[in-house]
Amino acid sequence: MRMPIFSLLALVVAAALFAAFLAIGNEYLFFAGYVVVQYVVIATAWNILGGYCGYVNFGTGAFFAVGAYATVALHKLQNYSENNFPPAVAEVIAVIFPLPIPVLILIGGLLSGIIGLLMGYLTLRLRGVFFAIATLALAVVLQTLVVNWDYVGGSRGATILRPPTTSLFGMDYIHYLFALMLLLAAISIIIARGIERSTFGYGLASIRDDELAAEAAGVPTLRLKLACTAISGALMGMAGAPFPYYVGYVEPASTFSLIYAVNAIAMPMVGGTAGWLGPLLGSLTLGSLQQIASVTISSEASLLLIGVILVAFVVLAPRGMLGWFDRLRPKRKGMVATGGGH
Amino acid sequence: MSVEFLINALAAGLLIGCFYAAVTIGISISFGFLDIANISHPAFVIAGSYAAYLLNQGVGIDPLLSGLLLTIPFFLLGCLFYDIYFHAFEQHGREGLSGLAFFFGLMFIIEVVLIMIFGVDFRYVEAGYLNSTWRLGFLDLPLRLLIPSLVAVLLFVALQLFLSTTFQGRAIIAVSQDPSALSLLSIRPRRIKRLAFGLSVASAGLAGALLIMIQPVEPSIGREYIGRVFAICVLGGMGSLPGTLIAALLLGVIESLTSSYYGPAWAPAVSFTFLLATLTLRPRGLLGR
Amino acid sequence: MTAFLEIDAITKKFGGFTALDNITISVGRGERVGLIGPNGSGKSTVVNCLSGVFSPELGAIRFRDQDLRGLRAFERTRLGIARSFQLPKPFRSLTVAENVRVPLLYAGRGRSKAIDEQCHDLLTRVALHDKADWLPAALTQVELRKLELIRAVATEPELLLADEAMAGLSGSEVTEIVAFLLQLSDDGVTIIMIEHIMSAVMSFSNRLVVLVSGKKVADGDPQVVVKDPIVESAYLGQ
Repeated sequence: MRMPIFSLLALVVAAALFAAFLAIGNEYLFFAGYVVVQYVVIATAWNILGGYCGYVNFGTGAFFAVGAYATVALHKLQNYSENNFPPAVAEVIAVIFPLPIPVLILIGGLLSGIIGLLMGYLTLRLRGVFFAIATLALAVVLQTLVVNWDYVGGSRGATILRPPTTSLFGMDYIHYLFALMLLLAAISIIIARGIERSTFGYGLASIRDDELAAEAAGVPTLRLKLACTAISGALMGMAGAPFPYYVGYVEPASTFSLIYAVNAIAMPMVGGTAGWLGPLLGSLTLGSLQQIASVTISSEASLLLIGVILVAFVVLAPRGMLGWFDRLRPKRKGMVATGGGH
Repeated sequence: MSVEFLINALAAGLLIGCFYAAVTIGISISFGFLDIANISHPAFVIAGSYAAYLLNQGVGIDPLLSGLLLTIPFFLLGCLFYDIYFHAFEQHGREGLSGLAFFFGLMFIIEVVLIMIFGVDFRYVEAGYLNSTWRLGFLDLPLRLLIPSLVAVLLFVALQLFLSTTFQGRAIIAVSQDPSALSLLSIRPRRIKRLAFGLSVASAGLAGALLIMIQPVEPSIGREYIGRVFAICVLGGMGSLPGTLIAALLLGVIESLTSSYYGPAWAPAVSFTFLLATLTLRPRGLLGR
Repeated sequence: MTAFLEIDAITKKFGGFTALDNITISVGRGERVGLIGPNGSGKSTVVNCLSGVFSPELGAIRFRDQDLRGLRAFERTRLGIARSFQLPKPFRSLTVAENVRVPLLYAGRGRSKAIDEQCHDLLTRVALHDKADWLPAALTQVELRKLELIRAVATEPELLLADEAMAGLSGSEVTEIVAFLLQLSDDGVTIIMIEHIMSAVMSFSNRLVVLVSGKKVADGDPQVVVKDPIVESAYLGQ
C-alpha cells in the first residue's frame, strides 16, 4: 500500500473510532480508551528505536514525564508570572496562556527529543547495552530533579484544574483529549510505517543486524541512531504532554512510574517488533487487558500480569503474536527471528 | 564546615563504598566476565534484603548469618536463570533486545511481588550490635555501617582468591577471554558460565542482607542501584576486581560528600552523572588504556 | 606522482602488543595485491585500519591523495574503499535483495537505473537472483560469501579489500570466487586480497606482500616473493 493511502486510512480509522465512542456515549470508555491509545503512541515510539534499530530504551517513563512536566511548568507559569515577573511580561503571558494542548504537545515533544539526542550523543558510540543502562539511570536522575524542584510541586505533586469544556466547539474536555491522543496515535503509526519502507528504515535495519557491516555499506550509523532516538523520544514526550490535563494531579512517583517502561517494551515484544502492526496489536491487547485487570482484580495484579507476560513472550515467543502467523507467509525462505544484534 | 565533619563524611563514604563494591562484584562477574547485562541484579539484592528481614523478624536469625545462608538458594536461583537465559537467548544469538527485556521483566516482577507482599513501607532488621557506634576521637564508626563493610571486603577478597587461584575460578576468567580455549581443555563453557552466574546471584543475596543492616529497605530502592553498580563496573574496567573496588570507593566518597554538603535528596543524581561521565570519558575504565 | 593508495609507515598497538610495526605499502590503480602472512601477523589489522574500524597511532594512509585520518568507516566506503568481512556479516533480518539494497541506497553513486534493477543486475552477477527473497539464514556458505562480496561491490568501490573471502570453501568454489574477483579487476577495481589459500593468491595476484608479526618482510612479484628465503623460513617453511 502506498504511503498517502495508508496515511489517509489511518486517519479515517482514528476518526471512525472517535465517532463510534461518541455514539456509544459511555464516559468511562473515553477515560479507559485514552490510556490505551496513549500506549499505542508510546509502544510505537519505543519500537521505532527498539524494534527498527535494536537499541533498548528503558527510560520511557522519563521521556513521558518530560512531556508531562513541561505542561505542568507552562501551566504554572501564568500564576507565577503575575507575582514574579514585570507587569508587561505578565500581561503578554496572560494573553498567550493557557497554551492550547496541541502547542503543549509540540513543546513536550521538542524537549523529549532534545533529551533523547543528548543521551544518544553521550552513549550511542558504545555498545547498545550501555545506552540501555544509561536510559534506566536517566529515569532515576530526572525523577530526582523533579522531586527537588518546588516550582512544579516537588514530591507532593501539582494539581491541574481542567476546564469542563474546550473553547473548540464547546467540546467535552475528555472527548477533546481522547481525540487528540487518537490523532497522535495515527500520526505515530504513519511515521513508523513511513520509516519502515524508507532509506532511513533500511539503514536502521542494517544497524540492528550488524553495525560494522552497516558502516561498511556506507550507512552513517551514529547519525541515524541519533535521529532515531530523537524521533522516538519526541513521540514519548508528546504522549506525556496532555497527561496532566487527563489526570488532573501529577506527582513524580506515578509520572515516572516503571510501568511506562515495562509497557513500552512489553507491548512491541508481545505484538512483534518487526513492523508498525506489532506495537499496535500489543498495545491494544495489553492496554485493554490492564484496564480490565485493574478494575476486576487489582492494579498490582495487573502490573504483575504485564511483567509475567513480557518474560513469557521473550522466552517462548520471541517474534511476538505476529510471529504465530509467519507460517502463513511461505514466500521468504529461512525465516529467522529479528531483533538480535548487540 | 569543620575538618571533623569532612573526615566523618569521607569515612562514611569509604565504608559505603566497600558495600557498593559488594553489590557490584556480582555485576562484574555477570557483565564483565560473561557479557550478560543482568539489570535485575539490584532487584535480587533487594529480594535478599527482604529474605533477611523475614528470617530476622520471623525466626530471629542474625542478619549476617542469614546473609550467608541466603547464598545457597540464591546460587541455585542464579543457575536456574542462567539456564533459561542460555536456552532462550544466548543459544540463538538473541542476547541484545530479548535478553535485556527478559532481565528488565524479571526486575519488574521481583519489585511488584515484593510490593504485593510487603507494601511500600520501609523495613529493617534488628540485632543488638547494630545500634552501637565506635568512637575514635572525633571519628564516628557506626557498627551498622562498619560490619557490613568489613563483610563486603571479605566477600570481595574471597571471590578474588577464588577467581585467581582455583581451577574453576581461572576457567571463569578464561571464558570471558576465549571460550574456544576452554573446549580444548574439555571444559564446557556453559557449565562454567552457569557456575559464574550462580556465584553472581549468590553475592546479591549476601549483599541484600548487608543492605538491610545499613539502611531500611523498600521494594523500589533497587532501581537507584542500577546506575550506581553499572557505573562502578564500567569505571572499574568491566570485570577487573581491584578496579571495581577502587571505583566503588570513589563513588562512595563522592556520594557521601554530596549528601553531607548538599543533602541526601541529590544522591541518586550523583551516580547517574558518574555513569554518564564514565561512559563518555572513560568507557574502558579507570585502569584501562 | 603519488600512488593510488599509500599506506605510509603506520603503527598500530593494542595495549602493549604491537599489531602493525611501521608498515609501508603503496598500491597503484588496477593492481591485484595478495596480502599474506601467518595468523596474527596483522593482515586483518591492515584492513581495519584502511576501512576505518581502527585508527593507527603513527603514520598516515592516503587514498587518491586524500588523507583518511579522522574519516569514519562509512565515509571511506563512500570515497570508494569497500571491504568484505572475514566472517560474513549479512543483515540477518533483511532479504538477499535488501542486503544489496542498503549499500545501493547509502553509497551507490550511479543513479542511471532504478534501484530494483541495479539490485537484480548485481545479484545476477553472483547467481543469487533466484534467491532475492530469501533470508541469509537459508543460504549456503559459498552463497553467503558471494552476498558479502556483492554487497561490497554495490558500493561501487575503486578499491576492494577482500578479507579471506574464500575461507572454508571447496576447491571449485574457490575457483569461482577467484574468477569473480578477476572479472572485477578487469572492470577497473583495485583489489587487495587477504588470503590463506595459496593457490588462490598465486592465481589471482600480480603482486604479493608478506606480513610476519606486524612487520612487512617481502613485497614484489609473487613468483619471486614465495621463493624468498626469509618468507620461506618465516611463513611457508617453518
